[in-house]
Amino acid sequence: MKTVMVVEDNANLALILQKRFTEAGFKVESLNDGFALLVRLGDRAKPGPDAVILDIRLPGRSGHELLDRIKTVWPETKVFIFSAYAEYRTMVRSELVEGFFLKTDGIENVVIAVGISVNSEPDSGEVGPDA
Amino acid sequence: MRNRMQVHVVHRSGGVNGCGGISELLVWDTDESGHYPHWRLPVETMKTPGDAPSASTGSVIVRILVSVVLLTFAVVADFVSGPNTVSTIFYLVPVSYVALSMNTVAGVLAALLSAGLWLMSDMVSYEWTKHPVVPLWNALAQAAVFLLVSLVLTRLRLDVKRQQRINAELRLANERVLRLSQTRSDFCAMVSHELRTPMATVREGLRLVADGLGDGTHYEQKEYLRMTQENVERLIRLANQILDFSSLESNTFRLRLQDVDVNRLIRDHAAFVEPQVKAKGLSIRLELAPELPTVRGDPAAIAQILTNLVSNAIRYTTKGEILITSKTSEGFTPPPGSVMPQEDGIAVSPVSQVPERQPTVAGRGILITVRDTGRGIRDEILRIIFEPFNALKQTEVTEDGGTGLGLAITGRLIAMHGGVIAISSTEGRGTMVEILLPLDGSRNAATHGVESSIEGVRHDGR
Repeated sequence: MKTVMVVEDNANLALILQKRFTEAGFKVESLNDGFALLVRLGDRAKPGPDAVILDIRLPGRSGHELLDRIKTVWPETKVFIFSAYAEYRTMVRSELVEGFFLKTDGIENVVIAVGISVNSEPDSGEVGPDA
Repeated sequence: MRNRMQVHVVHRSGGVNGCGGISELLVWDTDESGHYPHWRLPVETMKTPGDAPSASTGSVIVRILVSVVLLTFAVVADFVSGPNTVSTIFYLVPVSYVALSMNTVAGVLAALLSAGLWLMSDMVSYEWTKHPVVPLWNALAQAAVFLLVSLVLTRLRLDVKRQQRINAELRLANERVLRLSQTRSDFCAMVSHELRTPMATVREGLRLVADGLGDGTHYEQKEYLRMTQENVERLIRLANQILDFSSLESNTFRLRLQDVDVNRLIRDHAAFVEPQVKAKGLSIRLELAPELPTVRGDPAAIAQILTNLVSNAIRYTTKGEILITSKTSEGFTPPPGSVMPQEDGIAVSPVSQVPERQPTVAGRGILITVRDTGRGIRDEILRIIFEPFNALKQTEVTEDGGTGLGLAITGRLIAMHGGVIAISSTEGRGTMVEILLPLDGSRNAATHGVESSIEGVRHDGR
């Protein structure tokens, strides 16, 4: 089973992301601020996830600062930015991220992209049509 | 956790020089612990320009001294040079100086004083037996000349001063407009950002509810849900377009240039909208030139241009088809009766109905057309078609879910690519949009060649 880590401080969106990824057959780990991710990165006993859904504006440490660290500790992990700020698309180094999503782009698209990227078969029945 | 955001407009009555108005926009966040200011936008009230500080006493004394010195020189020169010289010129120097540097009364006094001194000098060496009245007549003529020069120069000085005041006013007004425009852009951007998270949550929550209803017989609930979902999508579209537009307005919008396969973008987009087109009972047809060269541009921006044009075509067409074509073209001649945005991307210049007067855009490019068999665009709407928020001036667009920003954004994106767009329409028969994207990438690469961004466009990294 492929694992995905959701780093999102908005509890509602985090919950929905978790639900949608679970439905699509992922094992989901949810963190709600930058510090939690930093602590998790320091825990070498646990393996890194296959993909990280990373918000940029986070309490503690910004996703922007954490991006380098994620790719250093978990070089195989695919990182997807999930932000309300379109400007970050040019601020993040494109070679480090697999995709950039606005929060309004639709979570089903995030799930599809992550699915393709980690070569998993997301449960297509759960993905609604794009309105 | 942020719960609520409030915007307070702080008015300052009276203000500087009695000029009231908005002095601050305060944006507050409200949470369990109370209010705290989140953002503060100062909006300075306009100072009354042009009232430059009047000349200080020191500088007036200096001017009087200089005038006295110049006048003394004139008198000395007049006496020394003797009776046969034309001494008028000596006096014109102090008269001109006073007229140009001091006020009108001082100029007149200087002119009369000079005429008096001229008369004194004349009388000293005059042989009175010749004709006793001549020096007086001469002095009168001199006084007239001096007064004339003084008044002309005074007028000149006043004109220059007024021009300077107008320039200062214009400069201040311009600065104020720029500041207000920046404030507005910042405000739009901030509000739109703050809207994205809650709207995304509402949309995703509604989808979960819709999934939960399944295939049961909750017809009424499903209908209410569909209605709510449609309106959330509309809000999201509006927020995204306002954000795109404000970022284009504030020049923070940058293109991320690469070689773009236009045909592929068209095919992808056509496949994406096909279900929507079929649901309306329409068809979508592509006539794409094979082996089209790639164009230097931002794929996300070109995709957004296509999205805007095709969604307009679908929205305003009830029967028939939507045709998208692409081909290479040596230049572009907009059809008679079409409209094109001017250089600012907003104002429309209607293309003349007279064929030989049509403007022609030179240079090789890729010509893309999007044609529909919809209801067409009325002339009065065609004239404002590239204006932002034109939906406010017409009712049918907003009723159909348009924001009135799509073509304003499209026009600017095409201009940033160095391309042109022309729209022609016949009421009741359909609309045709033509775009020429230049194949010579040097024009846009020079101005927008940096790594750059585009908002509101899906980019899934595939």
